[in-house]
Amino acid sequence: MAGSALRRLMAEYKQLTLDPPEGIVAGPISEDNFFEWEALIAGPEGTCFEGGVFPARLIFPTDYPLSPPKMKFTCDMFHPNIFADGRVCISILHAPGDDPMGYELSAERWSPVQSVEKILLSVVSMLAEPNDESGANVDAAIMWREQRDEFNAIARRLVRKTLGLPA
Amino acid sequence: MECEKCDITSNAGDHRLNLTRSLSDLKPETTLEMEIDEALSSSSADDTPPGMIVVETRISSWQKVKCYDKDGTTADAEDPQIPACSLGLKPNVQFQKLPHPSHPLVSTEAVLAAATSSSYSAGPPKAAATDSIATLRHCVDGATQCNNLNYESASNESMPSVGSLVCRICHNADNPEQLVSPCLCKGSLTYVHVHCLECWISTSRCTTCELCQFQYNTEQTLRYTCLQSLRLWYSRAMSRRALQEDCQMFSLLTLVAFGIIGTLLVGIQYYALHTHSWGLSKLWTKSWMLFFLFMTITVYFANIYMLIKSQLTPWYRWWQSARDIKLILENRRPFPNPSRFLRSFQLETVSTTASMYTHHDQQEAPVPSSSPVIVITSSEEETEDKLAHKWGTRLDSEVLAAVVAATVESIADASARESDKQDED
Repeated sequence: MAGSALRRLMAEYKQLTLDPPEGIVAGPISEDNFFEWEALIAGPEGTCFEGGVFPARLIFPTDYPLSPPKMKFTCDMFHPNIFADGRVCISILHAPGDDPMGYELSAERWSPVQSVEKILLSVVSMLAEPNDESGANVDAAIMWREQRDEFNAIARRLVRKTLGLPA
Repeated sequence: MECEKCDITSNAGDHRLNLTRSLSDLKPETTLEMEIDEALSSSSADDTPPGMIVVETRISSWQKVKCYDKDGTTADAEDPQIPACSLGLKPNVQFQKLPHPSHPLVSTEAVLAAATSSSYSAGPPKAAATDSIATLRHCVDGATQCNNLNYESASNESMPSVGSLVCRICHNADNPEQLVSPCLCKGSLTYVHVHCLECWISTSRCTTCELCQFQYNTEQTLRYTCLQSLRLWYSRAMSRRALQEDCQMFSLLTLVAFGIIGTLLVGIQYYALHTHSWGLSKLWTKSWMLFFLFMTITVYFANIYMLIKSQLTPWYRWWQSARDIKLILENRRPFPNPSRFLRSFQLETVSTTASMYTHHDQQEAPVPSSSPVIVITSSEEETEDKLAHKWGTRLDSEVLAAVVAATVESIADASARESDKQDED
């Protein structure tokens, strides 16, 4: 099973290298360990995260693609769907099966048809359009819903922080 | 003197013919039609061969010319009779064999009428040969162009089809004979390895496709027997630790429960014997103690049940979920790429037609006249025969596909053979 996961991860890395999507750079941290990837995600244009480059880490299970990877931002993030410690809460990264809380359909959750490219594109889409109904960060969800200007200001401050610019 | 007169008279005749044509173009056509009608009517009435009639008309025309001129050229009269007969036979033969196309007959008659001397007798066959060769070349060129276009389209379409033959779970093109299309998904998600899909169903415990909601038909058998699963379950350190903790809890509960029960029983007997010393009634005291005894026993057994349940429930769920999934591929399509099959069929028909034309081109040189029509009909018949043969082979392949679909294992072999045939085509 680990061999199959390794072969698939190698194929996906080759695909990402040959045809990289816009605004996303991803690859394994080292060639000795293909189950831990590092990704750089550019903030989508026209949003409060524009101009930012956010580093993230993906940890793949040994039975990938039957189980989803775990994704975590390694920089400070303030977003309704990202926990305070950086863990990403997005439907396609949730384990397969029906959601016990009833928010997500089984078709929206993890499936082996998904790939690293699709995961990262979904995260970019999540940055552009947060989902405030099921918030991982409640403070960010409330602020995004009720005090948008303050949310945008905090986001721009974080963008400058990730770029190493003075606030 | 006489020879010079003869030459002069022949030149005058040619000049007169040219003048009549230049004056009016319709009259020669009408005269030709009249001659044809006269020949047909005379043949039907007199029952004589049409060749003789035509020859007589020619002789009569020559005699009229001689009447205008002076007599004395009997030797010259005999010479034109012989070429007239030889020229007259060919158009009659052509007329009988090809009655429908009137235009070539008209042109042939015009050419013969224009050619008054033997020097022009070789002209018509060369012209006919060149025309037929040109038409054949045009047909062959058209066929080759169509053939090239078909090959180009086939080569273009083969590339994406090869690229799309990838398992959607492991993204690998290995073991193409194991690639199947078990659900309604299309495009790049059409194919999946049987093994990969069985692993996914076993992991997700959901027997429907998560994309197109197609219900898979599966056979599920337990991987382990009861004793095997218990041994495997309790070989884990976590399960063993949980078991030890539950045993300790059971021991403690048992001690407390038996202590309470013993105390109550002693109390009941004591109060039964010495009820008069206190103010409480015998009935109330005994009832309360019995109720408390019953409650203690009930709580004890409830706790035992909960302990056992907390031990066995996780094991049972794991045991039931550990199943060997086996797909039953009832909805598998017999022809994965029907468009490629049809395209190859068309390619073969076009190539056969082109080969026929090339064969006809080789035969054209020895027999220039009357062969194009015959060859066209023969080629049409051959194409019809080959089409029927192709349809017969397709039916046979369908029957073979139906037979092969009876067993699950042979389906994979059939798909492999079909893919090999497609690659060869």
